[in-house]
Amino acid sequence: MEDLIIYLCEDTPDGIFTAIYDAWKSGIPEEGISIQAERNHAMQMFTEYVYVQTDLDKAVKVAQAIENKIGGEAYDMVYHAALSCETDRMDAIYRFLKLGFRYGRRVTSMHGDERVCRLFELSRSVRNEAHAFREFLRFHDTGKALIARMNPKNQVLPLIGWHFSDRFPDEDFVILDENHDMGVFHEKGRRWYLSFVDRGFIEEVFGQIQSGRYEHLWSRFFQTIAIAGRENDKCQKNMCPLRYRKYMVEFQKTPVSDLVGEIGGAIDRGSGA
Amino acid sequence: MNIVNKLSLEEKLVVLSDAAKYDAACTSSGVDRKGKLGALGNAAACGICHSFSADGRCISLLKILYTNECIYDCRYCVNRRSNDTLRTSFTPEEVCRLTIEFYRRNYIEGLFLSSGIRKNPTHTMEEIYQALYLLREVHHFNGYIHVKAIPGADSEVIEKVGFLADRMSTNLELPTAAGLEELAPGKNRKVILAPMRQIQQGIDDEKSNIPRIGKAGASFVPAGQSTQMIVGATPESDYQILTVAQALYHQYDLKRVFYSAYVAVNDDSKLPAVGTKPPLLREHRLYQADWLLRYYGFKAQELLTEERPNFNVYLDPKCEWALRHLEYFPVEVNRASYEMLLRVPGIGVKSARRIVMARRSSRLDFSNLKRIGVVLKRAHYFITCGGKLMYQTKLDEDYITRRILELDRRKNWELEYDITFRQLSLFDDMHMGADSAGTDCREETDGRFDYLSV
Ligand code: SF4
Repeated sequence: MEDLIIYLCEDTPDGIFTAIYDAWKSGIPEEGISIQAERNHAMQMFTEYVYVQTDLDKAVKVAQAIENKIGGEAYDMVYHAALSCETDRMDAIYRFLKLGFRYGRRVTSMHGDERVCRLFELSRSVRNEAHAFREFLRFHDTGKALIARMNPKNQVLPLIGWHFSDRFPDEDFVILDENHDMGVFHEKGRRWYLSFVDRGFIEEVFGQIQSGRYEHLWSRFFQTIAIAGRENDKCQKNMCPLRYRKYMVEFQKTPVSDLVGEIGGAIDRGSGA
Repeated sequence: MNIVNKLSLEEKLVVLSDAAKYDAACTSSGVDRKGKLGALGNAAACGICHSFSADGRCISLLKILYTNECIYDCRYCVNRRSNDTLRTSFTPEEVCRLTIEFYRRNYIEGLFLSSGIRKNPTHTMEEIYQALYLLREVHHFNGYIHVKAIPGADSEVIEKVGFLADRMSTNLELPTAAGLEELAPGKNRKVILAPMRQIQQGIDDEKSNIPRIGKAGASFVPAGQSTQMIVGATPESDYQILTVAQALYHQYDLKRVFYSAYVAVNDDSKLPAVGTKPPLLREHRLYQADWLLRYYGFKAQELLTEERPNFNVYLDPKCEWALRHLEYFPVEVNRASYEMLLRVPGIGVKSARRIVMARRSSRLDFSNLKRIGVVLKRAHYFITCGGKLMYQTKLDEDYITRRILELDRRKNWELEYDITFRQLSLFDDMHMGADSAGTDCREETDGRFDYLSV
């Protein structure tokens, strides 16, 4: 077996793009190279290691080359794949780009090629998770700011940050990712930013939050809107998997009495005008 | 009527969301609007679900009635005047507060406000207008709003509401004028169609830049209008229903027609007996056929005829069509036109597009088709790759029908007994509406809605 050269880089899009730049410049054929995250890497025998120093200039060069030669659509996919939690993400990006620089824009329609498929898969699962958190993230109103926490597998926080800063331009809000120790911070009328946060800080903040009136009203609405006798646990789990429910108020166990029964409104089918 | 005004907000919410929960239309889609400084919210054309209730249905909007009081006595409706149920109403402030506080917590995409008719149609529409005015003009709510246009309300108030809402709907309720007269005394087709025409006119005027009385810059019902028909309360055929839907799409430029399998709740000699099973499978076939009208280039008259006025509920309408037109098949995937590919069972809009793209760079074989997302189990009877069928099969109507029925048996059973699938068919807005490739709607990307590629 040929010796393998492993490029170890920081686990951020900039780090990954820098590694791609260095690996590319080395001129070593693709089979002899692997790019991996430095964090948690288990060293292997018969392997040469190259430590990549994240370099913004190099990263920007790679990003621009992708945009110009393969197109914006491909860039988005590569960027999303870079946020993935799968260990082969960097190699998958590298292989895709090699192909992309050869075939140009056409590469995104090469649905038959495995390298293209793998990149699509990675980027799709990141986008899917980001979308799930756009749906299922829940804010609490502390009186000072809106605050939410999440437990994503992938680094979807930047994607979420864009979404909510467009949606809530006039609010102060914070979103904390407890799996990657990161947070999005947004101040009314300002641009949002991403920052590392301390795990203890997240627990401290949420230790003080209590469920209020609207949390309660929402839970009532949630219970009422379901059609009795048509329970479908399987479908509900499919559409809203358990791992997302950890911080969704409507799935927290707070006993609520059957109000409809209490006030005697046996209402079956409303139709409205 | 048993009108109670002293209920708490929580009690009202329970009563008035319970009364609204059977309404089919709950998508937040159709309009893309960026957020802006000084306002709360934005809107995504592909729609966003925020939760899934115990029955598996998507919750996207705060779906409530403004009031469940009603002066009418429509036989199919639980709010009919003659029913002895608890009646209550929100105030405009309450609707506004609930919407905003839920929205800020990311529970909802916006509001879906329907209503019974209190005092008279114009009065009810005025109150709804007040709620929308508070939301939009006072609190600068920029999220999604869908309201019912109350038939019989003054055209001025409908117009005012149209400038504040994203989508408006007027429920046709029953597919034919005769059915309506029979079951909804006091309502008639003309009164229902009037606001529909008015809203369409409003949207058209705006497209052609005819100046309107509305606020400068405000747009009129930007996500278009929709309607709902009840299926199975009256004896109309699928053919009648589908022709009405087609006419609504063409003549009234509707964005969506919703079909609602009738749930027998009222004891009434003119209606199916209480406890009759809602025709869910039939409803599902109508949604699939509706989809074929809107995105697959089919006409109602191709799918059904006066002689053959109803779908076979056990086959999806596209399959049924293909089986009756075997003379067009098999088609060669590497050559067939996009329009023809769309007509192949097992090939959906997305895979048809991908086929057309991918075959430019290489010749496609069956394994490519599988990667592309074609449902080969279904499609293989109808296509060739490089002149070859996938298996040795007969192109024979009975034979293929039997095989496909076997494939679908489990699904059909679930459909018949399971309301969840009704809701799924409503996702097509999300699935389709986002025509731009690469949107990040989950529904668009993960193939969970494969069965829709009929
Ligand atoms: S007008 Fe609407 S709310 Fe009133 S009875 Fe008829 S369908 Fe029901």
